[in-house]
Amino acid sequence: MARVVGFDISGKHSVNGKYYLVFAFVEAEISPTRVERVLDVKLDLEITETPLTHSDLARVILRNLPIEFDYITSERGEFKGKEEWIVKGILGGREFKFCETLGEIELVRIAHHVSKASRDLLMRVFHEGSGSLQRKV
Amino acid sequence: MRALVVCRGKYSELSELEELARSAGMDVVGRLLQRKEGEDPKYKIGVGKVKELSRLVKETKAEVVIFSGELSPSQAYNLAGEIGTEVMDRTQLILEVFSKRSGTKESKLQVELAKLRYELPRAKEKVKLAKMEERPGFRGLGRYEVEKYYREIRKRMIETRKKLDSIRNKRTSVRRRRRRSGFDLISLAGYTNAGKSTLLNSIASESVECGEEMFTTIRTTTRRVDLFGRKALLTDTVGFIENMPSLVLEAFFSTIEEITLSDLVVWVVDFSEPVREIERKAKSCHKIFERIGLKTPIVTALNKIDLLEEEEIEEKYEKLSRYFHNPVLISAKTGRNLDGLKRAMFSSLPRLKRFILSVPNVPNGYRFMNELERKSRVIYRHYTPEEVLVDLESDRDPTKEAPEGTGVLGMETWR
Repeated sequence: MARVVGFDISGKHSVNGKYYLVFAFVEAEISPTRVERVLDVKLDLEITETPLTHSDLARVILRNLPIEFDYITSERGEFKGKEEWIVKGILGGREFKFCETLGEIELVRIAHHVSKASRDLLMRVFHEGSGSLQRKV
Repeated sequence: MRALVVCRGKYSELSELEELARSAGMDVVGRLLQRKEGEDPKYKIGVGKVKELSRLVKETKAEVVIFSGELSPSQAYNLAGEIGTEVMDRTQLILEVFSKRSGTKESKLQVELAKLRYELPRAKEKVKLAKMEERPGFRGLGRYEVEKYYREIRKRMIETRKKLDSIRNKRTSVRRRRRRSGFDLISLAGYTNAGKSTLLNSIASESVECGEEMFTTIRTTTRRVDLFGRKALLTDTVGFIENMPSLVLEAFFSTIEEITLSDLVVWVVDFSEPVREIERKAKSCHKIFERIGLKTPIVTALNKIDLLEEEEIEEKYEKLSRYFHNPVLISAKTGRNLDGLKRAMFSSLPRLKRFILSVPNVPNGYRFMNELERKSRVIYRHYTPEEVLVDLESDRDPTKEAPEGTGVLGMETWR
């Protein structure tokens, strides 16, 4: 079983000239066909006025990585279709693989749900204030 | 039919295309590869390559040119005009292979539906082009009006779908009956030409047709197997291919459904191929498993190890372990380690509940005992003048159909 960090980014499009980026990192033990155990979930936030560059992305990823893991995985789109060996270089030589097995795809999907839901929540707070959340609860 | 294969991309794609063409009964007389990335909108390949292709067609006297990937009708039209011969894309070739292999009513309907689905989005452009000038592969449209042609395809699609739905319903009821009879359903899945049919033949001592060509099997074949006392039905299914066209997946849904609705999937992998090839095919299979929403446990049968040395096996195993769940090294052809595979299959099947029953020793009780024998796995029986003690494993509660006086002496979740 491999210890893998799957990540996903939500909010790569601009809203009123700003980019509200939410990064979700899910650390889990995975087998080739499924996620066996989720070990940790981390969220990170960046609000910028410029689109996300590869170096920004690498900075955020590296500060959220656990001490021990086998490899990092994500969808191809997160690195704008760059080759796997280039992404490895961007991440300072850390082991990286695009999600290809059922387990990796499931892991990235979990990360996607976390980042998407968190960003939706964040946008609601920004636009309607924290009161909107209380009403919902 | 003399065919020429053309590919824009990787060499492996070209080899696979060539193999597909051979499976369709064509004689491959030439090949052309363009490594440059991207796509030319007019011809798919570059203008220079079109000239080269045109020359090659004349030299080899090819009757059809097959392109990897998909061609739009205008690309096919332009190419047919330039090279003066019929042009076909990969999806059409796959459909051709399927059509050649389809023997049953169901598979014939599935192929027809896939062909109609392929035709529908192209109808408009094809009709427009057919009006312009006759070219190879564009003749014989007859009624040119777009709307008429379009409507006819849709009508035929609805009719075919209806027929397929009724076959699917029959298949569902068969599956339900099999489950009720206490059978575990196991499917063989994997890339085309991995050895699924050979494995079915070896495990079930059968003689299902299997061959060197791709897509020898396009309809399901089910045979009974005994897994250490557990009754199971092993189903051979249609093989996968890289970038399997969605329309083929959709048309063969009822066949592929067998995989998703089974209790266990045995994923057969041709382990004798080079590491890169195995990796490429494994990725494609994972992608298809994901597309069809597979949630069933998987046992991976790494097949054809009789063609490999021990060191080679270890080396490959180490490099590719990321892709394979519950891997078992086997050779379906020589029968090597089939017991190991059966053990892995047995331990991956859904857990059974163990019951110890006391059945009254009366005629009614014997009838019930017969049912138990048929639908569950009876481990032990002990007869006394008043009662019969039965120790059994079952996936459902057997006491529901039990005669009066039957008692449950013990029950636990156990294999």
